[in-house]
Amino acid sequence: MKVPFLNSSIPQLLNSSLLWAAVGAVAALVAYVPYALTAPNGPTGGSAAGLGFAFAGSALIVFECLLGLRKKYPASPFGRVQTWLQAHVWLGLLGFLLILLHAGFRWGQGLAALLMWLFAIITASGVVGLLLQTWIPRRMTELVTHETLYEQIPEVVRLLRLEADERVEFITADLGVEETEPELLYAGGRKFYFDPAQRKSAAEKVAAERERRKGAPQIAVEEDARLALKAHYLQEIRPFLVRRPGRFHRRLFGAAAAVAAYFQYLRTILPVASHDVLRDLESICEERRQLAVQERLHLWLHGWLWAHVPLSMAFLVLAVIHAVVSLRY
Amino acid sequence: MAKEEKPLEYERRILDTKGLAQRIDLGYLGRPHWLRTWRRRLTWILPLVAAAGAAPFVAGIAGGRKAFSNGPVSRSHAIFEKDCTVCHAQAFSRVSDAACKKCHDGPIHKTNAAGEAGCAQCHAEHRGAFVLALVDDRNCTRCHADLAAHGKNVRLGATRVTGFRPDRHPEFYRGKEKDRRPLRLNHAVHMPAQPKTIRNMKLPLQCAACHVTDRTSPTGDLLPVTFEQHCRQCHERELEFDVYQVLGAQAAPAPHTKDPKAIHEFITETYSRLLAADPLVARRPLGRDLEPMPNADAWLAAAAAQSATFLFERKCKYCHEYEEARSGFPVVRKVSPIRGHHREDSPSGGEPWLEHARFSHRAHRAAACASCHQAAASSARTEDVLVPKMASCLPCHGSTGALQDRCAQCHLYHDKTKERPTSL
Repeated sequence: MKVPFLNSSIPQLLNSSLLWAAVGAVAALVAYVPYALTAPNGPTGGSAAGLGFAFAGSALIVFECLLGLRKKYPASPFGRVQTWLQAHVWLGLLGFLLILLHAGFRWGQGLAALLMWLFAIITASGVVGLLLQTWIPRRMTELVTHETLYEQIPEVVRLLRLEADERVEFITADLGVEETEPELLYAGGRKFYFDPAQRKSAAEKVAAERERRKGAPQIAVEEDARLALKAHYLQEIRPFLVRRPGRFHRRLFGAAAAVAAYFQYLRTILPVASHDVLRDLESICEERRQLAVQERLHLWLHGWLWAHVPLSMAFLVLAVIHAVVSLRY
Repeated sequence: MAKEEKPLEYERRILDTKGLAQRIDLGYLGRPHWLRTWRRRLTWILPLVAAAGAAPFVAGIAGGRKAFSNGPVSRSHAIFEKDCTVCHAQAFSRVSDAACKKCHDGPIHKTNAAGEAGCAQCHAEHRGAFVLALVDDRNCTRCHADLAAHGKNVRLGATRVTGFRPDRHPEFYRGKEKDRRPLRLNHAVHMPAQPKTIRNMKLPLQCAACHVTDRTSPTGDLLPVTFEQHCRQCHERELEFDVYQVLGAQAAPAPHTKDPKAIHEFITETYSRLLAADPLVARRPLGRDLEPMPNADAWLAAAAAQSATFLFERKCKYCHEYEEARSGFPVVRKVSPIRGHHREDSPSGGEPWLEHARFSHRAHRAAACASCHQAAASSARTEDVLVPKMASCLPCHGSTGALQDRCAQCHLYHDKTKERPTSL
């Protein structure tokens, strides 16, 4: 039987970090309330109970910071990374509660206040990140059917641009744009010919095809249609197939419906002979658009880590300083 | 004729997994995205920056240790707020009583208290600019909620005090002790409900006509009520001793002094001067006697003795209680300056009626006297103790939740009578 909202069965919950965190939170609050009500000078961080909350919270903070280390060695025999991540989420919230109890729900001043702010930002960014990482992957699956590796996007965009150039040149011949190909090793590899003659032959064949394509149109259309296609391609389509398209081009091809409408319009003004090329260009543009969406979603999915991780390390250092100085004085 | 070349065959775009996979640049792992690279760098840079930034504060440069304080210090300690070691002398240890006693003596509470609280146990610092002496009530009720368990040979009647409410705090005055000063004092006569004029004095008198606050006292203590300042104007007649009306209207009244011998000498001296001025007055019979005295000396002795008797037994008794005559001089019981709880052995006046609390009239100067001392106008007996009831304090000190509700507002933990001077 699944528990609504949490999407887990009861046995899973009983054995989960959520249960531990909930029990810990309840125990902490049960311990805090009588302490806060009976402490003559109110709850303070330096009292016995306050220090107890501090030590418990600090232990959880250290555990939280170990997640990065655990993920760096995924094969280590210290429990599953998924379990660690769940514990990181729930015990992190418990840690924030424990530190609030340690401070007596006071924000303090100086370093103490700075630590509270940092912890609040870190916790908030973590919660935001949790929500984003729950929602965005699903959304990405819906919106980006042509997903690729994030780090590959610049290279894929370049390849899409080259492909589009080649296809358009079937109608327009040489477009007058040249690109230098970077030295990259593709997963497709290079076809290896043992026979040097065969190797030369393959390269010559490709070069010959390229010469013919650039030399003269291979698909016959009217001259004005050819010029129109060339103009549309160079001014509107090709600038979109770059690493950072301008705002105009982003808006022109901002949605799937916009891409479809644009190419539908081209199909009405260009002859039927060019429609195959137009359909392929539409496919390329749509793929480029989806890569832009993927890039944006990726930033949302991982950008919160910029606040979460570095601030956590800074927080850890300052917390150690706070602990030592507070105990010293 | 040249053979026409066949145009290149246009192949439609097919997105298959093989084609997609072949696009992958295998070297991408060696070129991590700048997002990831800079996140990793920041993960190291920020903690180092934090540590470097905290270093001057840890070193205490320019009073930087104040940044580690968990709250501003009280106003009186603000002068050394930047020097934590003034109080936090011992590392990794709580503030010791010795650190406080460098400046504050902090005498013990009671000798029969079971254990003394440490200074920092009650006086919690780093809570902002407020008065440290106004400690939380829980520091007091820790013991006073069950005093018998926290003291030895506890003689107080109130052993369970948990707050300032009628059901939790004893009444100030329970009527056991009366004001036993040997003086006849009637507030009701001096403060009649209807205005009138007696002996050229308009009544009712205001409280401040007799009860004057000491302007030099920080708590506005009341100055003693004395005959010379507050009573003579109306009651000088009570010092007239010319029982036979021989001295005339201009005769000086007897001095208001505790020395009966001096009074008798004054009376004798006055009649002697009369005889010297008018020797024939010695022939006048005194009182109901039909025969005059045989001689001037006899007349003088009789006049002085009878005048003194008249003065002490008729006039002084108007206010004072009479004592048996000693050594031939009729006397009245001595009265110390009217102030506080009368004690026979206290020449300067009595002790405050509130033994275990302190009250400041200055702090309450906005309140009318009658708003607290409601029984004064109707009090006709000296033995009436006019200490206000607790109910008159409750509207302001009951349950406002503010500092004025606190035990420390009225009660002192430290026995100031045992305070020793300290020097920095």
